[in-house]
Amino acid sequence: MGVKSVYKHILAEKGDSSSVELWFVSGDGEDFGEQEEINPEDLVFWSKNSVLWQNVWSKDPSKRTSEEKKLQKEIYEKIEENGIPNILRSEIWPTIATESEFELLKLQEEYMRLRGKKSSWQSEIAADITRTFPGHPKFAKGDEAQMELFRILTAYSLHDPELGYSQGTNFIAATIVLMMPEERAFAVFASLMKRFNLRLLYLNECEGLKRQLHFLSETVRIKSSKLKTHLDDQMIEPGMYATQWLLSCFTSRFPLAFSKRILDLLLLKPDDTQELLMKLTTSMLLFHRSEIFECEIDDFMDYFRSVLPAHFAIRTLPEDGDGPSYYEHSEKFLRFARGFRLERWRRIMIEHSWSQQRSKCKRAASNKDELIKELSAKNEALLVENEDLRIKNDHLKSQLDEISGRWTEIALRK
Amino acid sequence: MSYDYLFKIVLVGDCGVGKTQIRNRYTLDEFNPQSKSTIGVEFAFKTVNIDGNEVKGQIWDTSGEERYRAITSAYYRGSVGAVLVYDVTKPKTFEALENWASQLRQYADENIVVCVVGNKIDLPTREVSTAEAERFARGNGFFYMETSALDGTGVESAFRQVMKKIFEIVDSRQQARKKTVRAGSIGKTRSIKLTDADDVAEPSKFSSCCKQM
Repeated sequence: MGVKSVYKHILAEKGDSSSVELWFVSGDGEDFGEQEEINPEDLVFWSKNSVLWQNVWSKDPSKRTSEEKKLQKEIYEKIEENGIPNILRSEIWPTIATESEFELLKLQEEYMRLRGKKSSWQSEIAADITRTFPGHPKFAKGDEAQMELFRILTAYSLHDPELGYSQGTNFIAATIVLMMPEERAFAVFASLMKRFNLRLLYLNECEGLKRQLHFLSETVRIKSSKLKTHLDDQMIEPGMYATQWLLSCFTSRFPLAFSKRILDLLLLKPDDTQELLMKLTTSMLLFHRSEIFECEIDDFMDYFRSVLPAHFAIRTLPEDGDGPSYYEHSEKFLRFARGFRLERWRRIMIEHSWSQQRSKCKRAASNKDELIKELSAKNEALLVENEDLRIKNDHLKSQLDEISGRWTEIALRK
Repeated sequence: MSYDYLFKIVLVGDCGVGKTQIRNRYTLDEFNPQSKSTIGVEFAFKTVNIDGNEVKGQIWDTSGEERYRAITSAYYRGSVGAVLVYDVTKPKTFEALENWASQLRQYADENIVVCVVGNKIDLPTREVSTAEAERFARGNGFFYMETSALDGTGVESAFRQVMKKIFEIVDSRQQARKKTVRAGSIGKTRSIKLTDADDVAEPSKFSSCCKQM
């Protein structure tokens, strides 16, 4: 019952009577923000600064003047607050994904070297290509964007052989492919994975993901024990809803306009992506807590799959009716997430409990290894004993044959 | 919504065999031709009536990707049923069942009820025969069913068969111990484990070291 009222609320906002389920299925890739309007203030800012900034970025970072560094700071603050206007993303993303133009060119060259080469991950990648944003017109079957995505993911699997390919990254790369030419998209994606260390989420049996889930669970307990209890009571664990959020950096379940806004933010923090993801996942739960309290066990799947992401697809007109429409829910959420704080000592405590849990897991695993070793040693010994017995058995059998042979002889003689 | 029993059931099998489509057909009665890859794990619920008992199935739909095995296997723990899916048009996905079955043996309850499901029988290009698959299932003590998530054939009955079997095990054990306590009557609904008879009316335990999964 609870979540139904949220449904109604969303549909009323959208001014529509269709069902949320039909209208918003996450991961389809419907782009509700294709004709995004630009806020006039942003237009002034970017038309004044975007070219200036691109000139700065084209220079060696160590040779930038204090004036130029100030401009960089201004640009970053602007993006943090309002995001990047959609039409400028193809220009601006590469400039914040890499340290300088030289680095971008290097990555693009690397791509041209790898493009079209075979990879052992190819069949996994191919299986996911048709299952990435299937609702988006540019990803319709056999379309050029699908081929680009395939080539980029294949090249990346060669560029980073330790990781290869991992599900979830297909949605991140697809979001980037939609915005810019192929080789530039590769450079931004590769940079996000390596320079920004997103790859940590997937490496070593998803160690980074497990750490994030641990943090999420602990932080929610600290910030709202009532929410944690409610989720526990309904048997909803972080891995059930947050795995997709994290492994695709919010690109697989949310409207593209929101996903792109998240990438704007991630690209500002080369050293801090894990921290930002932690903030976003925790805020995602806390910000929607009143709705989550209304959910019962049967509602959760719909809630996380459609209802929650649908909020982010609704555009609102400003109250005075003047000016472009905007994503009110998205803006409010991001403001909330920006304001999210966790005390240092708490962070240390969580980090500590995580490393304890990890060593416990490792110990359990090594115990298991020892048990396996012990049992295989026993098995070995039994096999040897078995072989001995078999030889003895053969020996006795031949003795028996001999004896019965003699018996027959004796019997015949009589 | 109240219920008497909660059974946790995992859906496993190679990438692209149709696990998510089977789940959607079963829980929502829908088939979305535009399928998306499952990242990690997704879940769904459906309640059915078995011999007058409201039994809720908690369906765990897992990614078939090798890398996520470490994560998805954490969900096997506490599962009392498993649906092992392969694609009848792709022999490779059938051959992989051996591997999936050994994963289950390693991580899941030893008495887990398993149903092997050959999916996509609506396609004309079948390459794995029913006899072959039945032999595999019988050899391992599993059920066998064939389904089409596209038109719905077999999906409902595959799950029903698994749930009914689990119910029988739980019920006979309760009969044997003359336990008249029904989970629902204690106020809080219980989830079911199969190995330890004493656990029958206990709440599910997520006490293992990897519980955050």
